[in-house]
Amino acid sequence: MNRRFLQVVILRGAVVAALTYLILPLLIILPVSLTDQRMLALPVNGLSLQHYAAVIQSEEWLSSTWQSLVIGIASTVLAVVIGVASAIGCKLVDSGRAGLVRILNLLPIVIPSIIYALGAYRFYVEVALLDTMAGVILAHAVGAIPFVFIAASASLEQLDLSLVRAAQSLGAGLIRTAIFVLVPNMKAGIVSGAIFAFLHSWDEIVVTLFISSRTVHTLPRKMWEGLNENLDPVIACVAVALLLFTLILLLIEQKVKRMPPAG
Amino acid sequence: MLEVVNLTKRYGESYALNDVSLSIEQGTFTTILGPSGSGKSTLLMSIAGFVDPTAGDIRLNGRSLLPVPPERRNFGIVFQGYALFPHLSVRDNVAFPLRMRRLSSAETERRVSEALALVQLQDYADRFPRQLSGGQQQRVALARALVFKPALVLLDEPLSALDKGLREALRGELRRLHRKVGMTFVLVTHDQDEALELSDRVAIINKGRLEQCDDPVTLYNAPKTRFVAEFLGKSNFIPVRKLGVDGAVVRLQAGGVVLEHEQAGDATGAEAVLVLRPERIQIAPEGAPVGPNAVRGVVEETSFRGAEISVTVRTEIGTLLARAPSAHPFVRPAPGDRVVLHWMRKAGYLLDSADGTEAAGSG
Ligand SMILES: Nc1ncnc2c1ncn2[C@@H]1O[C@H](COP(=O)(O)OP(=O)(O)O)[C@@H](O)[C@H]1O
Ligand SMILES: [Mg+2]
Repeated sequence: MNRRFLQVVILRGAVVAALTYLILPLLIILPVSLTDQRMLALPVNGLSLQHYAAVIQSEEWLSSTWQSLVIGIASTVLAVVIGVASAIGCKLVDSGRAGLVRILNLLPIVIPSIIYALGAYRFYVEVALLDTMAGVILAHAVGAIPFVFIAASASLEQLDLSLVRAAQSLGAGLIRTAIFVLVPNMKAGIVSGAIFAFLHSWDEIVVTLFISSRTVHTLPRKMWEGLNENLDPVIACVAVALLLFTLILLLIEQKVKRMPPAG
Repeated sequence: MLEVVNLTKRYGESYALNDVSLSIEQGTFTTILGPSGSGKSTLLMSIAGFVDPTAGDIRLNGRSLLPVPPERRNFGIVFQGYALFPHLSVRDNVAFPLRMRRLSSAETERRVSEALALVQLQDYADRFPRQLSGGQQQRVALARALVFKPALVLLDEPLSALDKGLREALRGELRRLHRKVGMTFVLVTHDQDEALELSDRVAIINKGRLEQCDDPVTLYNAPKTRFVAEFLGKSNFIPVRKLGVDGAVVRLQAGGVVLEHEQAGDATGAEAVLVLRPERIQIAPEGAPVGPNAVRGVVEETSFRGAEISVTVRTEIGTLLARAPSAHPFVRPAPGDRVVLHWMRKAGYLLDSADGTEAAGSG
């Protein structure tokens, strides 16, 4: 056996080991979700779909799913509008204030979420947003802005700025230039930013725990409570569903990235 | 009429434009010509409204344009890289300015097909910019800049990205288009042939300053500065001293030779520079009968260029470059041949020494 072959084997082994280490905790939930037991455990006598049936029949889980979807979509729309507008503004306005806007847009991923959660809690008490859908949507949108801002800025980076001048010379002011020329050419970046924004909301737990209690109970929050209270294997089923949904979104994101810029 | 009045643009300590004044008549084709970095684009973009001048004014029919934002100046611009919208088809690119002006869809459609016909791209309406060749993209950019009947059409080096053959073909097309639409065109280029061939008037700028603005013939035959003489083709620069004036004829001392010069030129001092185009200098074998301005010399170098032949001759008044049609009877002077160079009294142009020393070296 020559040396080169040995090197390849060792390298492959290392890669497989690393991937296993990373993915195993994710994969373990699959057998757990199919357990025939009445608690969060690996199956003993065989596989069963009973807990999946329980999720679908559970009013509570369905309402959580619904809330998570609504919050996810609404906060994504907000984050996309703000993030894309900021990215375009930073590119077009050549002044010191652009730097400030850039920093503001990136702040939410820099600040630890626990600190933001505390602040949001204090603030929401004052403005009566505590435990409301609107409050959670706002908080998730803020956390999602950096993802949109970064993706949108990256796609603007590849755009020839003379397009902006061309649009202006043809009679479009800044707003119509942004809408009719820039946004259509940033499609890939915007879709990718939107997907990450949605995913941010979809699995957000820290801030949500602070600012919601009875009325709002997103999926991650309900899972967290379920884990604390009764170790119901239903949680594993929900986790599998969450994971699948996330995977699908990521695949879409990859696909969109490879699309040509135009028609 | 467009007037540029004492326009200055400073970036930090350096001047991109320095006190440039220029007026452009309705319906003319004006070219701004200059070497790279001379401030051509800055001038054009100031007219377009994308560059804020440091001082001076730009007026259209007497009204200052400075307070008017670019989108309301109503100027069609062809950008250096064309700047076609990649997400729109050819048709929608050309329709863009009409949609921004909220024209009816019937009118939009009519004008778009008219504009596409003008640049012969009717069959490409549904293509996207990336599916077109450079020359076709260029024509789409032109159609888009013309379709809304702008007050002024500005073109920033529209042909420089194309290869030579295409460039020359499009030059002809541009000229034909200008005659046909009758709009005012302002073109920026660093290509002297392009400028001479296309324009009613050429403004030559150098280091942010306007050197001269004239029609191509005047510019070529009566350059006001050495820079202009040098930039528009090759020239010989002969330092001379004025001996005296005899009617229309000025007698000049160059080295040990007395030259005669008539009319053209506005040199006032005693020291001057005689500008002589190579093709105005005749070559004759030594001993042949010649006219008033004759200098003897030895051929140093010849180069054959198809239609013509260039000959470098070391003469008693310095090294001169002459050019003759290659079909000339005295066809092939070879290095080492003894020849006589001679020219008519009206062949040259006299510059003040001060203007003549602005650029170093000679052609
Ligand atoms: N935005 C800018 N900032 C600083 N200097 C500039 C800027 N734009 C142009 N310049 C300078 O001004 C001069 C003229 O530029 P430009 O008008 O683009 O020249 P041209 O189009 O004739 O090549 C150049 O020296 C260039 O470096
Ligand atoms: Mg330029």
